[in-house]
Amino acid sequence: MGSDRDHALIKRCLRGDRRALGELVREYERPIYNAAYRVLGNPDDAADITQSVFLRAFERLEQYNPKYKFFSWIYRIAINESINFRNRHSKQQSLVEDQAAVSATPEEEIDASHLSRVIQAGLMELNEDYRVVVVLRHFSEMSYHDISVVLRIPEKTVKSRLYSARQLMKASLADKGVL
Amino acid sequence: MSTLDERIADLIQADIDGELKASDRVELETALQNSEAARQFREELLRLAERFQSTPEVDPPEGLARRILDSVELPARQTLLSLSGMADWFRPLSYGLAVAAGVLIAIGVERMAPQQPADFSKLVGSMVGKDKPAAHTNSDILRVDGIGVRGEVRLKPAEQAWVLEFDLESDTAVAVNIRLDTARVQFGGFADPATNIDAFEVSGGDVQVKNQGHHQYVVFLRDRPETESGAPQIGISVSRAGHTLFDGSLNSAE
Repeated sequence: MGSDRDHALIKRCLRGDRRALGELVREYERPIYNAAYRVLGNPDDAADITQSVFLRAFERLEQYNPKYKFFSWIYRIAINESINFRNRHSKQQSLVEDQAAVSATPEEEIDASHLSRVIQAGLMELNEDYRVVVVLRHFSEMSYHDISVVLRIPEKTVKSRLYSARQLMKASLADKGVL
Repeated sequence: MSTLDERIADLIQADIDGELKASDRVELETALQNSEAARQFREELLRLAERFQSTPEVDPPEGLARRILDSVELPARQTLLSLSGMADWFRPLSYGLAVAAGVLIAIGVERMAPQQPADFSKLVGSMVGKDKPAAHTNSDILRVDGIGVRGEVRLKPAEQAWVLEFDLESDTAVAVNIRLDTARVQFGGFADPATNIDAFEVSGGDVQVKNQGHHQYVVFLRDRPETESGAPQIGISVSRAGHTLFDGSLNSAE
């Protein structure tokens, strides 16, 4: 996610260059979709949110301040959209489904898709504040500083939320036999 | 775990996350040597991090990118042209009259190719994209493929003049340097459809354009009237922070 390259692409988008838009969508579609999926726990909702994130980002592109990294800006939109979506729908269906599907499994039998479902179920047991920091740290691979910029919270708060979230995740994964 | 000091827990977490300060390294290592609770906590966090790392990414549904591209609207493509450097050649430009830039470029084209009607829309098409190429019988193409910069430059003949069309892409800010064959041509003008290049400079037989991202602009050269006509040799180099990324030349087969 090179910020110089992103800024150049944004300049071109502001000139109406759709090739530049295509490059930005190619670069960010996958990470934004994955972050939304891990926050929401549902692939269809994550796809809708990803589309909505790009729509909102490009509607407001002229407000984007190049002093900041584009990826921080678009992730902030993604997290806000995801949380607002959950608040609007407050659906727990996917959580129930995921938890029902997960059962304790011997470590040698843990395959990637099972692990993915167990991790997702664990994430959905966390409150949003904790879940979001875990997603940004472990799935979006952001630094404490970048997380603090995206969520507009102090780095100290990022660290303390991560600490608490990890304690809960450890217990959850241990219960499900994958830790 | 209750015996683990909060400060040590913070250091362990920072280490796992790759955020431990160098000045805290010794304190952490001492704690790990002396505390079973610290070692156990570190082991648990490492295992948790490994579990997250082993979790595969989820593929976005097929067609999502297309849905996004179809739904996003961008500002209309800019067509306003900016001109610079033409004052020596076309005196009225130096008066700085508040004339639309498009009109000015049309006058420039009229002077370069008096036999052809000034076709402003056609000129814009040739600079912005390849859907409406300007009519030229000969051209020479220089393909640029350097580290972090790629694209092409075309040299096209006009009546008593030459047109250099740039279509380059760079990852970061680069300087495009144009070395003119000053025995045959001199700088005649510059047109940038986007009006937002970072810097433009003409010095003797050298023209330099600095920008990052898309380099789509046109440089006009005019034949020196006192010399025999013939294809000029044009040197093109691309550099970043003084380091040459690409160097080449082109001349028309006219």
